[in-house]
Amino acid sequence: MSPQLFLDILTYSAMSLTVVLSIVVVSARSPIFAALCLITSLLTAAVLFVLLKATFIAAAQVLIYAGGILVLFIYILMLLGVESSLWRRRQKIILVALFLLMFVAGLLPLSLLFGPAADIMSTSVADDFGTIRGFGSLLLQQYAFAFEIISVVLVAVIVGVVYLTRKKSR
Amino acid sequence: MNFFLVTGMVVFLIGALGILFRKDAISLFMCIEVVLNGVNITLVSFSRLWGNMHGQIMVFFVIAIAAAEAAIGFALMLQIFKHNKNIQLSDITDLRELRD
Amino acid sequence: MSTLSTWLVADATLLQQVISALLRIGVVLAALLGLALPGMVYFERKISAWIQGRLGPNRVGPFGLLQVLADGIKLIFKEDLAPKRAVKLLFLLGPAFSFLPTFMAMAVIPFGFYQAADGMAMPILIADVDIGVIYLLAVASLAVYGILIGGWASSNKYTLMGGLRSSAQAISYEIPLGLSVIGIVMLAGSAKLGDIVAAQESIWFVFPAHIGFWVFFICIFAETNRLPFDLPEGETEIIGFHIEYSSMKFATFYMVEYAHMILGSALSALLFFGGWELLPWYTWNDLAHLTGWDFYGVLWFIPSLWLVAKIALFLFVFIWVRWTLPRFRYDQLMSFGWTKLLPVSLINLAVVAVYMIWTMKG
Repeated sequence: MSPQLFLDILTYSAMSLTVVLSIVVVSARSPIFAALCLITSLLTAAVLFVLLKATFIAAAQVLIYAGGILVLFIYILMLLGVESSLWRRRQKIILVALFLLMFVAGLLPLSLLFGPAADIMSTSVADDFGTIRGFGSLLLQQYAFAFEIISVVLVAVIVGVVYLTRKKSR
Repeated sequence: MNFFLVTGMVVFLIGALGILFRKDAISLFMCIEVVLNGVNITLVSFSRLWGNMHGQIMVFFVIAIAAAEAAIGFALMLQIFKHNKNIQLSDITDLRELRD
Repeated sequence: MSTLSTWLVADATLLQQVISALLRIGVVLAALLGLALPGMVYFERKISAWIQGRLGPNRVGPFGLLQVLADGIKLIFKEDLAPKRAVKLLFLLGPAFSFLPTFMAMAVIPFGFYQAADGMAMPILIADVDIGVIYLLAVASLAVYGILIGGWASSNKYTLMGGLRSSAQAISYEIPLGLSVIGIVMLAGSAKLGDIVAAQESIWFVFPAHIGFWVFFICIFAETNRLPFDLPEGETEIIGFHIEYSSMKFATFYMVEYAHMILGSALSALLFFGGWELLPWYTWNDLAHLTGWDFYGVLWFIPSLWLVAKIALFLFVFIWVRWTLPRFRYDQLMSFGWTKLLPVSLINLAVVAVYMIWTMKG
């Protein structure tokens, strides 16, 4: 078994898993099950990132997204005790029709931009592509302003959330 | 390359349609996360294609903003839940005009 | 040993790489499940007994060594109950969600260093990824889900509250943990654990990042739900997340807690105490120059055993603290993590940065 075949099988199975899990998230009956499938689909997306050599972003996605934000999701689900909403048959048909329409509409620009010969894996990348060193040097030199702004945004969000959820004194 | 972009696009579409068709707030937020997942996949694929890391920096910021938006969304949802006792979107109608 | 090196270099054929990876995973798993975890259970009981002034298991086998085996057999034969209204699939998956991240994190822990005669040098671990410690933090943050899903799937409001409490504690103490690890990555210049140990050859990182070590150690206690941060599972006081589990599922949660402890002790030893290095200022290489023995070649197991001794020392401290300190109340626990540990870990970052500038100028 050649390495390329192994990588191809891995890539295609990660892609199809991500798509299938996203479908389950969108259409699941129980929200907790949907949340678990969302976590798994984020993990398969992290696998795709690793295959694209973006290792730091894969770790950041698992650490922050799957390990922080989704924990918050599951907290809210467990505390609020949400039931699921069932889909009616007419909604499902409209959904699938819209999906097919937009899928075909989206494929046209893609095939014009990138013909079948464009192979993403054949582009050679720098040595520190996707590493912490490369990422950090770009983030803190070229995007330093955005970095500082986003820390201000996060502080604003913390203040906002603490304010929204305070106990209202009589 | 095509298939990475197609995956990103398909995931985005699935999430977008889920946003249109879901009726309770928490599932809506999960579909928003699916949309952002699709966006992240597309950004990282393009970053790999062009060979520089600008796309990955954008993904970093998308993840940070997704965290911020999820936090505020949950705080708001908790308040709505306290008021309405459930978070069905069809019950959040206080600001709607009176219909005849 | 030279044939071994053909199996371990980066450009071996794919089949060789896959087989060598599977062998390494098998060895680590077998060592953990067969040796380290049962040994941990036995030593916990013996050392707890010694601290409490009693004897501990001494009837089953010589010195009570077979007690763990007897307990395991008893647990296997217990009836495997599930609550009637429990969500079957998630109830089964709860222990698995807890088990997988901890063992995945073991993939980047190096257990020694090997330098072949032809100059190939590598730390002995399963996967030498570039993002090392960040991978470890990412995977360890997934361990929260086992507790959450286990608590919820039992369909019991008390276990749900226990699961929420325990996971709130875990995610609160992840942040000072990550910040103290970042101090170490700053000092070492790399996130790979092999590089971090190699960067400690002039001085162990426990000395410059001393505050960071205390923050890290306290956070490891909180992450593994070990006393004094024991309240979420607090056996005699409050209902924990695992009470509806019986027999092997409960044993899995129990084993995962010990595996998590071993992981935390290994990290403390590797990140702060120089890993397998001999003394804070004296490495095995210096000793090799003195005596002429090849500590990274044929005698590679001696530094590995030294690392295992350090890990055992930390595990002893875990058990010691358990029977020495009283338990935190839950609000004390949360306020300690957010209002006291988090600013202290930021101060640690500043101290480490000042130290780095000071040593660079000199």
